[in-house]
Amino acid sequence: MRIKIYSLAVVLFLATLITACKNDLEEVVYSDVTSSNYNYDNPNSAIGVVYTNTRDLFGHQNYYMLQETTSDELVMPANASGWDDGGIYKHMHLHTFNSEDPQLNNMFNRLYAGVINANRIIEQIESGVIAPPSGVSKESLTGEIRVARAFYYWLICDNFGNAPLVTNTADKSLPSTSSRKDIYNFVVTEITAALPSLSENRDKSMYGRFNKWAAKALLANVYLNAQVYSGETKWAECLAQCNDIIGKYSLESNYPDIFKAQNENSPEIIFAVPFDQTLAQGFFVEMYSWHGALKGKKNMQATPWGSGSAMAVSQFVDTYSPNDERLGDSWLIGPQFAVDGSPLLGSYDQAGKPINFTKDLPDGLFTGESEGYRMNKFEVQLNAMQNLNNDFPFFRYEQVLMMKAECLLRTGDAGQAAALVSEVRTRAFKKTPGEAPVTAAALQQNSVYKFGYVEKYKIVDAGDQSTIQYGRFLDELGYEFAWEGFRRRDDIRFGVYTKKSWLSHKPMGDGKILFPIPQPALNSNPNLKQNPGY
Amino acid sequence: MKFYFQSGYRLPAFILKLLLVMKLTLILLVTAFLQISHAGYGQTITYKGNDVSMEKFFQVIQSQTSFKVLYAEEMLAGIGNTSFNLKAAEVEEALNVCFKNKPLTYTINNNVIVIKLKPALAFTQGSVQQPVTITGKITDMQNVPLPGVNVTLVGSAIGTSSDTYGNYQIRLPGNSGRLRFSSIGFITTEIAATAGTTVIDVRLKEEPRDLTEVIVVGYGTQRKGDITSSIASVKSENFVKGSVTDAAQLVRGKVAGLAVATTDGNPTSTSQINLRGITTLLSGTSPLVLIDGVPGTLTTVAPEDIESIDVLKDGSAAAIYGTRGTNGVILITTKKAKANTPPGIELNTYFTTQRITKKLEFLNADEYRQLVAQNRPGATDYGFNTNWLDQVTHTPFSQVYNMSLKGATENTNYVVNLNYRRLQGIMKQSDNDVLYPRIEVNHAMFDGKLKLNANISGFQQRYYAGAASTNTFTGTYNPTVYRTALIYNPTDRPKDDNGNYIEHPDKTDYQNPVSLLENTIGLTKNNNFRTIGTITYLPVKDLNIKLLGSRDLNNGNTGYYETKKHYSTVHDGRNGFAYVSNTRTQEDLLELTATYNKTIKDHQINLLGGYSWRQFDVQNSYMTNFDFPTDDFTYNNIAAGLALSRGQATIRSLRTQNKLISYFSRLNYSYMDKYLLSASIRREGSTKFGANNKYGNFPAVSVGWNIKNEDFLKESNSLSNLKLRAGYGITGTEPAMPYQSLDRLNFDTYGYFNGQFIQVVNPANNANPDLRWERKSEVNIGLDYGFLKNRISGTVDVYRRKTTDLLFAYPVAVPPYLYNTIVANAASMRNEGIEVQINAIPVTTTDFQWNTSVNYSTNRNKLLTLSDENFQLASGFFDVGNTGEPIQQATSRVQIGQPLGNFYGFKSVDIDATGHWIIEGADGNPKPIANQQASDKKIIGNGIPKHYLSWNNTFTYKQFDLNISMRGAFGFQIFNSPQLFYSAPVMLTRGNLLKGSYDNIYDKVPLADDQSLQYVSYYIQKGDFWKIDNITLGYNLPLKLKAVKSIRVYASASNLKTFTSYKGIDPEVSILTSDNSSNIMAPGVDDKNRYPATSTYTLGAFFTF
Repeated sequence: MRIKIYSLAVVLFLATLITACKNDLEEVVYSDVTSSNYNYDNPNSAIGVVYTNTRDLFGHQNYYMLQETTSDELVMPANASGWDDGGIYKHMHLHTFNSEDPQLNNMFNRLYAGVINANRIIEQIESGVIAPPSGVSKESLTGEIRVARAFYYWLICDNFGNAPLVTNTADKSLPSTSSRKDIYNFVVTEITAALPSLSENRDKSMYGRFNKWAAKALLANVYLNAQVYSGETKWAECLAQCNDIIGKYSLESNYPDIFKAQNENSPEIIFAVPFDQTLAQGFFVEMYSWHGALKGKKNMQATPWGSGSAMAVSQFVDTYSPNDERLGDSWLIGPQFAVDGSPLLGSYDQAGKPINFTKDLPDGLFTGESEGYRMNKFEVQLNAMQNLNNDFPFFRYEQVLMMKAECLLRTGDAGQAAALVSEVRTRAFKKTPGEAPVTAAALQQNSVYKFGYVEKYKIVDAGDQSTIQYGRFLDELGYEFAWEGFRRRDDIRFGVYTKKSWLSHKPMGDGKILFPIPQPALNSNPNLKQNPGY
Repeated sequence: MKFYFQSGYRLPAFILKLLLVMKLTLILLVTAFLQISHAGYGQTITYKGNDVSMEKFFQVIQSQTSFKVLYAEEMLAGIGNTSFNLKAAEVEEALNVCFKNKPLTYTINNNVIVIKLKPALAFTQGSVQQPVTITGKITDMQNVPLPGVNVTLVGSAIGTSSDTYGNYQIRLPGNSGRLRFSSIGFITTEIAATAGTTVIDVRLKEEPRDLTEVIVVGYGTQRKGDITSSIASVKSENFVKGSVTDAAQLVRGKVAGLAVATTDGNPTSTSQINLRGITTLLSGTSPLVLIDGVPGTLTTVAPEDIESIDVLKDGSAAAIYGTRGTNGVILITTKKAKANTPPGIELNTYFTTQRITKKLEFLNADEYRQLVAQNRPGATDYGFNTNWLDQVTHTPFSQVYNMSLKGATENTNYVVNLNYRRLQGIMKQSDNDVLYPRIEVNHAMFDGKLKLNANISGFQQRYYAGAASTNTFTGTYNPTVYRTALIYNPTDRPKDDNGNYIEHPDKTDYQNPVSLLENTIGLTKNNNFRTIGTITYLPVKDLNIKLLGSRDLNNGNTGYYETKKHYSTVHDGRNGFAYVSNTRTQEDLLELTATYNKTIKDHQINLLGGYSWRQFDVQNSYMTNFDFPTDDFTYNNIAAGLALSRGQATIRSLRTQNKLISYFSRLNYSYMDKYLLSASIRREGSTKFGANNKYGNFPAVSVGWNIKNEDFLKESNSLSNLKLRAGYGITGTEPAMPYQSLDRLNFDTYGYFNGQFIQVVNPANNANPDLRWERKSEVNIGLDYGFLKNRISGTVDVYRRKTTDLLFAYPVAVPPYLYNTIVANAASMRNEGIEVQINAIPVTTTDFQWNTSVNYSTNRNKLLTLSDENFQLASGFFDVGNTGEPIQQATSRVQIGQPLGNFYGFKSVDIDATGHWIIEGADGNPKPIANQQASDKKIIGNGIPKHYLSWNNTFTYKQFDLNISMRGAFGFQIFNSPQLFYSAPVMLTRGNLLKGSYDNIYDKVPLADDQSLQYVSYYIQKGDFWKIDNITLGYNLPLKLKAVKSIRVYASASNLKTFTSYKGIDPEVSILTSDNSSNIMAPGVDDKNRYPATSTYTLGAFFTF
């Protein structure tokens, strides 16, 4: 009997013990927040990620250098400090890109992250999860995000051409490839539909965001290249968008001010990607263009990587007039000095000797440590950290003027085009104003670029020497927009990209106009088709 | 000599040995300890028989009453049969009848009858010779005194047994005779006592293991003979001798199918273990490790404090643990006090030193200068001669002390173990200091109905933190020190004439290794505190209820500081950088189990039911700061830096929690010791899964047939054991990290709105609400055999395991997903293999014995599918592993129909006249490497060994013993990444190169100066190796001291010699992925930054007081 009582007591005790344990298996989050229990009460915070996605495009292994180093403007050769990285930078210069080059995958993932975040935010605004701020309509906020999504799709269309076109988040099935033309049409339709609802504010409330004018600048750029994307020209449509913007912004009087570290109040900037050295990192062009010794030039906290790599193609520099102030404003040339005036010294082939950036390159594959003009366009502040503060001016007023000039030139109004270009050049020839004006006839001439394949500092094979239509105008674009990520697109539009030779580059065929779809994307989605020729 | 309860419970040898001499009251404790049920008194016996053997008589007692009979088989030799006619006789009456005229007597306590030989009284009648008293000391082969050894005069009933110190005294009726020494677990020895002899010292040899061995299984123990699944058990005397740093090294090469790799000589490293191939992807290969029933790691207890290690290999054995049983279960039992022994102290101490087994031979200064003379790109002569590896390495000296105090009285026993290890690594400053205290107390009360156990253990560890790591328990040695010491320009020097460190900050990945070592101050301190309490209650006959509660608490703290002379100031302007981290983990376990044993005639039933609740809680925080006013604070005053106020410092903290709840039960059934059945099920729930997928069921069933016990084999002398086993079981795996099913947000990105940066909402992951259990099912068929009284014995196992719903961070398409991986269940995979173990004693004489054992295992792995309805990895493969900067390619491919571990890259076939690779294109034709396309890549090798073989030998000769362990792995390739990176001329721009970097490739030309690094098959090399792993020579000092019972000294050498054609430093490379971080699917990479492998030399002594 006693045993039974004991047993009963034990059983009761144990039963209590088990039930006292928390037996439910719901996950309890402590240092995490889930979307289901987060309150999207700050609309700016809720939509912000659509814009912050653009910052990652500016690394040396992403969109930015893909636009520059595949062109006749920049090259990233190896040197004694390294910079080979398995040959991935060479591939860009030589147009031997393959689907495994990591830059392509980086760009692909970044652009689609922008698209997918935009899809989700559009749905959240429409379903009321995200409420627009007071004074802003749901339609207007949705419109802004649709334009941001169109911006990413424009870059997808421009770089990859044929790619997935996904507009919602619910469907997790694997998308198939949409044609470049379909994506182009989607971009145009979306921007056009959103335009009426967009904010016309040009103050800081819309800085770094798509107001109506930034959207129009985007649409103008899309139209400008419409022939490449769709086979049809859209000069008139481009011109119309440019005309709408003209008068809303103005030129900086001083060219370098557009690119200075605190450039967020520039009247010339229409759409910027804002950067900050601590809070909004991602812009560090000096790290991959400058020589490590140039740390001393600005008492930098960081040391630029090796001997630097991103540098001017010598033939490109040769096109400048020596009096063009943009030459020195864009390129770092000649001997380099520390803040205290002492010369900065090399470590490899120039070990112990003063660094002196020289123009000529032996070829596009391996250079000396102080060969090649480096980046001087974006201000590097004293005591700069690795990441710079300069906002990247993605669309600026000058570019709208030049788009307008190109449309006029191509539609037969060379005179008015020349007037616009001359106006732009005034800022670049302050000391020799007589050189500023260009004539209508000049703009219709061939480029002054000395194309040809280089070995040991000399052109050994001129290659294709056929005339480039409006080549002089392309030269003007080069002077103005070096380091601004436009050159690949311009080279393609003017027919240089797949025809001409420069440095170690030889034409590799029209198939190279599109980058290959990255291998990881193909591997994970068999519905995708690789672009022709890869 | 066999000695057992006839009910079928064969006891551990050490307990039985003691039973012979112990006071009977103690039996209560022992039987209770073994969970044997109690019964009332007064049952009677009715039996009539003529010429009945004693064994039969004992069986009758047991079948008709609940009494157990305990006796030594040898005692019955020559006793003869008996006849009796009993009717409802009390047990004592029956015994008295049957023992009449026999030299046997008995004692009864509770319901255990212990049979003994009658004391040697009145046997001197008729003796004409003078009686003589013989004394002596009985020890085992290690000179440890053996108490309780039976000493009998052959042919008489005269007998005695040895005392606690192994001493005995026996009085012979005549002046000569033949003495027989017998004890459980030892070979019975007879020695003639000739006239005039008064002292006979004896050393008894251990008996080969047989079926009476007790094996620790899930939630209990089982006799080896009753086991139906694949379980390997290694006792401490068979552990690897010499210097060991964790539990896995104790059993390296001892268990077929268990691969233990020690890939480097870092004193804080633990072994990599892999059981029966790679079965799961996400959770690594590590088995579940339980120390005295509570989860822990291979370093939770000091290796010297371990009594035995049992490995549950197949699914039917591991399924009772459900989760985490997929990779097998390793059960570690710490040393226990033997019952009723007076306090005794054991001291084990050893000292070790190490050397790098094989160095990578880089160019010396003179050879390097030849490259400068040739104007090779990147070669620079600074005019000095420095051997950088010598600058950062030294000859280490390590010390290990283990002291244990044990004692036991009738109802209480205790163990106090203290272990201190002060380890030094071959790299300067790499060290590991650990103090392991442990106290365990067992107490029985209320006539053994209630038993209490308290076990308090833990460790206090400290080591140099050479790298800032966000996790404690990692981040010890900074691999950059070793890597840069290899590649640093040999014409350079560490410091200039003014004593300032020389740095070249404009070179990529290039830091002065001496400065790095000397200007990094760091200390990691980890404290572990484990409290385990058990209450066992035996309320009624045959029922045992056990409640176990434990808390495993870890506190880790790292402080790290880079001085103003450190590279971080030279290169990044940090001006002093500090880092502090704190981690706290707490694992709580509550387990309630009930066991019910019942024997009904030939049927034995054992039932287990249980409930388990586990909760794991992690909290950590860390912060960085830089720009300090002085180096004097180091990491101790982190607020003194200025970067924090500038918003440049990092502060983070996190907390996660997860829980497992399970219910389980098991039935073991045995009929006539011939037919065995075990069936179990565990239902387990985890918080980590999606709402509808929390619980999984993990059943198992196994059967065994003791063929030897069949009548047709019972009489066989040559065959001593033959058992066939077959089992099937399912185990599960949960994701390593919690919250993978939830759609989480982070706020670490800033967007620019209205002129200021604000935090924006950013999804943190691709959530997978459908996350569910990964399941592994396994079929195992095994055979246990023994011949010639088990002089030859062993096992053969064949298994096939299939894992389905494999959890992994699978690559998914962007779009539709935001990120390109998602933790999901998709793939299925198969492993099948064979394991063979042979133990033999080829030679045994009085003075000499040779024990040898051979283990062989082979495993074949195949990925079956890579998709399910949710995830369409329709390409049928994904790439894993990373060659590392500056080439950025995957090393390996996981592909349907292929084994894991395939190296995937370009197949180099030739080199062109200018020194550029020629590869085999997709069409099979050679093409220049410059024209490579992804489609040209091929499977170029496999990094997982197909065959493992090990051979262990023990020789004992008088007071000497010699252990030789050898092992090897065969049928695999290694990616020789040091050769790829350091023998390519293009890397001269990054530093020094290996000797032979300008040798001809394919006997044609050297690699061109501008040939980019390429991951080609030239660097995939055959990895087969055979290693003389350990040689230990021991000597037992013959002692005649009262204070010291025994002293053993030994010398040992580990990782002594490797036979291989592999060109790198050590073919024993990681069986996990090289960076150890993401996944296990890129094994076989010889990591260029790996801490060098070492050979270790040890001198040690073992004292028993």
